[in-house]
Amino acid sequence: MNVDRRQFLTRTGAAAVGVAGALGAPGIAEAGAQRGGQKASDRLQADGDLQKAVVNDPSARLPAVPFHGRHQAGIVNPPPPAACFVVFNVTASTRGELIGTLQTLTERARFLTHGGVPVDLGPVSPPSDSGTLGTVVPPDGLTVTVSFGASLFDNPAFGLADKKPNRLTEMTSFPNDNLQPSITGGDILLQICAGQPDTAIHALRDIAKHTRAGMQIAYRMDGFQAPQRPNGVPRNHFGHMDGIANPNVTDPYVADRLLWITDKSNEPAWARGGTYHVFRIIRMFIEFWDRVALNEQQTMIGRFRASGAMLGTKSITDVFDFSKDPQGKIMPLTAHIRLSNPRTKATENSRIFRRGYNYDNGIDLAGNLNMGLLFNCFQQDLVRQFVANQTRLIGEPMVDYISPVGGGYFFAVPGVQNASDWFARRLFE
Amino acid sequence: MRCLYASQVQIEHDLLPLLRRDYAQRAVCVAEVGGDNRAATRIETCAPLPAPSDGMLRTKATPLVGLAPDGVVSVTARFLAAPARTVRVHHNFYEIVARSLAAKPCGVEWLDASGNITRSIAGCDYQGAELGPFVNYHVDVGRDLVAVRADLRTLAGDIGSGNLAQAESDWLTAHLAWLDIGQDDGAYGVFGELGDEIDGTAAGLVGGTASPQFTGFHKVELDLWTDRSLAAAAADTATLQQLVKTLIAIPLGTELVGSGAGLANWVLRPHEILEDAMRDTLTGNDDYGSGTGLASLTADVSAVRQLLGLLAPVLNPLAPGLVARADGQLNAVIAAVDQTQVNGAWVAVSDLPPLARQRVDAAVGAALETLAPIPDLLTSTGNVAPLT
Repeated sequence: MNVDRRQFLTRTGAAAVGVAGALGAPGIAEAGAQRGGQKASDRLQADGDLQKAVVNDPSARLPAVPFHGRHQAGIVNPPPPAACFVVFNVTASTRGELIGTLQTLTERARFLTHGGVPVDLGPVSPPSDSGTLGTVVPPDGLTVTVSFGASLFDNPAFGLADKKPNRLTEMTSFPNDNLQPSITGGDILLQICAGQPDTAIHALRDIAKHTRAGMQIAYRMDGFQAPQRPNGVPRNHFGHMDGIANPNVTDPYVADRLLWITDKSNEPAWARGGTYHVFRIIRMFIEFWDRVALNEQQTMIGRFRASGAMLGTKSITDVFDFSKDPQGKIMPLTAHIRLSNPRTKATENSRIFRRGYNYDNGIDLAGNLNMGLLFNCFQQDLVRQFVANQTRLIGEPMVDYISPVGGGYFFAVPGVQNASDWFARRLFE
Repeated sequence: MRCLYASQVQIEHDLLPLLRRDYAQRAVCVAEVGGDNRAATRIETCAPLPAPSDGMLRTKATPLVGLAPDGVVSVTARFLAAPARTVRVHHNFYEIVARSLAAKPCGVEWLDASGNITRSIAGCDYQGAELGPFVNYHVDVGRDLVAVRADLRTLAGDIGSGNLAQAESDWLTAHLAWLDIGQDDGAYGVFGELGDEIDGTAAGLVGGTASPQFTGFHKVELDLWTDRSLAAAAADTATLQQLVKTLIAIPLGTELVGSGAGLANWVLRPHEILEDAMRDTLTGNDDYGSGTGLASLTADVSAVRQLLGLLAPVLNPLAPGLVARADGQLNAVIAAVDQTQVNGAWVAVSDLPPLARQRVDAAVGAALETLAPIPDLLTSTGNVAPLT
C-alpha cells in the first residue's frame, strides 16, 4: 500500500495531535491491559517488558554547568565523559549574517545548557526539538565552548583581520604529523561536552538545525572519557592514564599566568577572558603498541602503566626530581613526560592545560582499528606554551606509535556575561 | 678462606701457612647440596672476588653469582644477547640463572630499596665471537648500496632518453633494491634523516608534496606516475643519486658496527620493517602513483628474512621455534601477495578487492605477532624499568 506522505498533512489537525499524544502514559497502560487478558494465540503478538539499557540511569544526569561568566564553561570544569568536537566553516557572506549566526548559537547554547521544556511550535511545524532526550531537555552537565580559527579573522567579508589574536595562525605540520587537509583547520570549533553521549549529540543536532545558513560542518569527531580504572585518571587507548599532571587552574594566580588572556597579555582587548584552544586528532597505532613490551612502553612515556606513578616513584601523586637523574637512567631523557614538561624554572610558564578525550572511529585500509586521542588543550600563549611543548616532543620514541592527522589552532572566545551578551560580541564593536 | 674438596683437606692443613700467604684475596664459595636424605652430596666451589670488585663474578657456568654491598636491594644484570634480569639481593649475595650458557653478563646495576640505580658497572660492548655473523653486516650493506646506485644510473639514463614506461620499470627495480637493504626510513633506521630523504613520505612536511623537502624515491614516483613529468623526474633522480652517494660515503663500519651497541640499534629491524609496512604501505599512505606497494612488501619480507638468518644462531637457543614459525608466516605473506597480481601486474593496495587485501593483512599481522618479542630477547642496552 502506497501511502503518500502528503495524505498525513491533509488529515484533520485533531487526529494528528491525538497520535502525538499517545506517546505518553496512555499508550503504556493500553499495552498493559492487553497483556492481562490475552489469549494463547495473542502471545506472539504481545510485547516483552520495556527494554532499557542495563547501566544507563536517567536520574544519573549531571547537574547544570552555569553558562554565563567571564570565561566560557567547558574549560576548567572537570571534563564529563562524552564529547563532540565539531569544526564548522562559516558560510555567512556578510558581517551581519555572521553576527546573527553567533547570536543564534548563543541562544541555543544558553537554552540547552540550562535545560527545560522545548517550545511548542504548534501542529503545523516540525517539532522544535528532536525529542531524543525526552519531553524535557535535561542539562546533564552540557557545555558548549566556541573557538575561532585564524581563517575566520582572515576572511575579508567580515573585516576582523586587525582583531585577530596575536599568536593565532593556521596549524601547520610538525615533522611527525600527517595532517589530512579535509580534517584540518576550519573557522569555528565547537567543543560540546556532556554527561551522556545522547545529550551531546542532541545539542549538536539542535545547533546545526538553527545555524544551517550561517555555518556548515567541515569535520567532526566524537570522544569519550573512560571511567577511572580502578582510580586515578581515566586511561587512553595505550592503557596509560592520561592527563595526570595538569596545572592547578583553580588557583587564580596560576590561571592568570597560564590560562586566560588578561590585560597584561599583549592581545586585543576583546579577547580578555578567552584562551588559545589547540585541538589535534592523534591516531594511535594500537596494534603496534600492543606488540611492545611493557618496559619499553613505560620508558617511552615515563610512567608505570598500572599505577600511573612516574618512573622512580611509588604513587601517582609523587613527583620525580629530574635533577637527581641528570643522565636519565631512571627517567629517560627522551621519556614523553620529561620532554613535554622538564619541570624546571625555565619551562614552568610553558605548561599547557589539557582536557583530552579518546576516540574510536572505524578502521583504516589495512584493517587496523582507527582509534586515538582527541588532544585538546588551553593556554594563554599558543607559541610560548603549546608550540614549545610540541617542539620539545619532535622525534620522541613514541612518534612511531602515533600520527597527528588533523585538528587546528583556535581561540576560545571570552565568556557570555549575561542574557543580553552573545559569543564574541566585543569582537565586533 | 679457600674451600677444598675433602681429599684436599690434608694438603691444605700441611700447606696452610703457604696458602695464607698466596691466597690473600677474598673469595665466595657456593655450596651445592643435593641428593636424597641417605646419600646427600655436598659440592663446594669457590671463586676469587676480583679487585676492583664489580660485584659480578665471571664464571663459565650458570648460575652466575655475585656480591653487593649493604643497601643494595636488587641487582640488574645485562647480557649481550639475552634479556636483562633483575633479582633480589639477600645478605649481600645474589645469583642469576641465565637461559643460555653463551650469555655472559656484560654489565651490572645496583638498585636501592626505591628502585633507584646507585651504581652502574661496566657496559655491554662487543665481546667475543658470538657476534661473528654481524661483524661484516656493514660490508653487505655497502655492497647493496652500490647496487642501488647502479640501478639509479639506469633510471637516469632512461629518463634522459624520454622513455617513460622503461623509467617506471627502472624505478621499481631501484626502489626494491633499496628496500631489500631493510634500513630505509623508519625511526630505528640507522640511516636516520638521510634515510627519510631517500625514501620518506611527504607527511610532516609543510606544503606536503609541494615542499622542497619532499625528495627521494617517492618524489620521483610522483613525477613519473602522477605528474607524468620526465623533466621533474630527471631533476629529482639527480637529487636522489646525490643522496645515495652521500650515504655510501658514510663509514658504515662506524654506523653499523658489529658491536653490542650496534646490535641494539638494528636488531629492532626484523619487526620494525614489517610494522612500517603495515602502517605506511598496507594503508596506501606511501603510494604516490605507482601502485607498487605490494612489490615493496615483498622486498620488506626479503629484508626481514635476511636479518632473521643472521640472528637465528642467537635467537634459536633463546626462543626455540620462533625463527622457523616466522619463516612460515613470511611464506604466507608472499603467497597472499602473489594472489593479488592481475595478469602479472601489481595492483595498488587501495584497488584490491577487500578479501584479497584482508588476506595480505592477516598474513602480515600474524608474522608481526611472532616477530614482536625479538628486540626484548636481544636487547641489552635498552632501559629496564626498576622494580615496581
